Amino acid sequence: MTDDMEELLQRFRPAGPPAVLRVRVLGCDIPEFSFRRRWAVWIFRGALTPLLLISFVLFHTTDRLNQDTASRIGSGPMRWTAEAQQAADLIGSDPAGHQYIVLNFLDGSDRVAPKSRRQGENQ
Amino acid sequence: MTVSTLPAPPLPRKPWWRLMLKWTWRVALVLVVLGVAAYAVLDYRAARAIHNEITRIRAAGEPLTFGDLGSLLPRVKRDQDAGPYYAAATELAIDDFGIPDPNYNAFYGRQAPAVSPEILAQAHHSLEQNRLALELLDRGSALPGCNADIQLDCGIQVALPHLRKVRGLLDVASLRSRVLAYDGQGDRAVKSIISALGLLRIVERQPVLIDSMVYTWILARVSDDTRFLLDKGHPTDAALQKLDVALRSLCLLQPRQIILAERVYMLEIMRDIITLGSRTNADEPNGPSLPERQIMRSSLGLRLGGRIMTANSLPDYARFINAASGDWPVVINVLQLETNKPASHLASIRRESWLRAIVMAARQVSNYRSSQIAVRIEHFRLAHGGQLPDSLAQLPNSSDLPKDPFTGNDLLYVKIPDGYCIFSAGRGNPEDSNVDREKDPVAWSRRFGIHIRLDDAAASQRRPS
Repeated sequence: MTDDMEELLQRFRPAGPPAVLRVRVLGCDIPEFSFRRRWAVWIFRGALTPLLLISFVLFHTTDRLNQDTASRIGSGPMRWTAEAQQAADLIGSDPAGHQYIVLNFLDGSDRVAPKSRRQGENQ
Repeated sequence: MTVSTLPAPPLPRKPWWRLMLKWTWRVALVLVVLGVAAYAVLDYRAARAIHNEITRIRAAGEPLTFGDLGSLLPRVKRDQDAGPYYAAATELAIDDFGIPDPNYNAFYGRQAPAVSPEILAQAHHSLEQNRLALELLDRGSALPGCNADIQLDCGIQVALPHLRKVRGLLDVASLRSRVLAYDGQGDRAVKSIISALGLLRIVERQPVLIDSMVYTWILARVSDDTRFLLDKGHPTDAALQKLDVALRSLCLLQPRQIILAERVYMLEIMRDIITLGSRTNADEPNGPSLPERQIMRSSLGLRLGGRIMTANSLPDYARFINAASGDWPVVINVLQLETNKPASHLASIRRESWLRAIVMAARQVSNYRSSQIAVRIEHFRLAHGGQLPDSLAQLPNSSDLPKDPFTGNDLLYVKIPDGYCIFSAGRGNPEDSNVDREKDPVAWSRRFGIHIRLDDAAASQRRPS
């Protein structure tokens, strides 16, 4: 009996419902992965990723270039120091206060522009 | 019943807002990525252009900072520095005499001076008020060097009032020269003019455009004071010689210096915006800068715009610096050619401003050189009983006479019924003046030279020393 059942089961394998019925029941096609159908998405992703990578490399290179440029320029004269700012704030840090500080306290001081690192190296 | 005969149900449609949301997201993503990429490319190109140009400037030994600019002129020891005297004098000067029009017209008008006793008394009162300022000015001018500048490195809001005060002090000094000349104290007036000439040293260390305009204004005022002196002052021959030496020893600003300083100023303004290092102190990068600069530093778009503008501007500056490297009058023609070349809107505005400033400077140079020749003519008159020379060739060492900055030829000399005029021929551009030089040399010489009125009675009083 058992052998008959097994034989019968082997002979009559269960089949799925017809495709029309599948649509009727499930309401849509079952998506299948297809590179051909989704090529636009992959081009989109493939274009954006290297663009971002190149941008970050450029940012990094730009930053290094700017640092090098800044070292070549060097800094300006040290007329306006932290002490001057403090003094200007004490008397009221408006333009008139700044000018007063500059004229009375800093004008006679020795002001030497610090040499840039790169300038020092070249020398 | 057969299943296959049933009609397929319609597919459920996605809501429209989901579709919109999906495409909005995609478009936004694309735009953001493209924006980031464009920013990176533009920023890199600008940074590379700036880097190359800065490297070239540094290699050429040209100034990049206010420090570099200040060190182009020699600094002196503190006990030889006129700067503190000038700083104190500019603070103390009270320039209120010329504010009423009658006062101004009496001493500075185009007609012959008509000074009433009241106006003269007011002038003396004003000079008495400014006695200390003038004394400090004289002490400063007696010193050999000047480390002072207009403090442009503290911002334009500090430099402009400072320049105004310098002008105020010069007005006071000029009034003194004229009052002394009017009172017949020609030799003291000469000393006063020589003292005022020293003020040029304040503005020559940071000769940006606005500064150079004050420089040319000082030069024009001193030239006009010289004219007034020769009109009314009756200085002795020795005093005239001193004035001649002082005028000849001036080393005038060159157009190249002005544009070099302009580039330094542009870089100093931009370096905070484009984050090229602190403008104040390399050892203290987060140290104080001027407050308004710190505000400007925060904007990303401003930074990119600033970098692109700087990258585009630097080659333009370089071209103009090269063009301005010659001497008068070549420099005017070359700058004119450079200005006529096609350029961006911003570059055109910049070039026009520079050309106008250079032409104005040339005009003041022609005034100044005409004054030098007028002083020599006065020498000649003293030596020849009041007779004017028929031509400039009759003057001693006539080959050394200063040339016309517009043409490179000799300055023009014309005798007129009430005196004589010395002037430049100009550059022939109708924009400069609508006066006919041949018909009205007096009016022409107000802009391009000097007009000396001869007073027979005054001439007879002049005596050789």
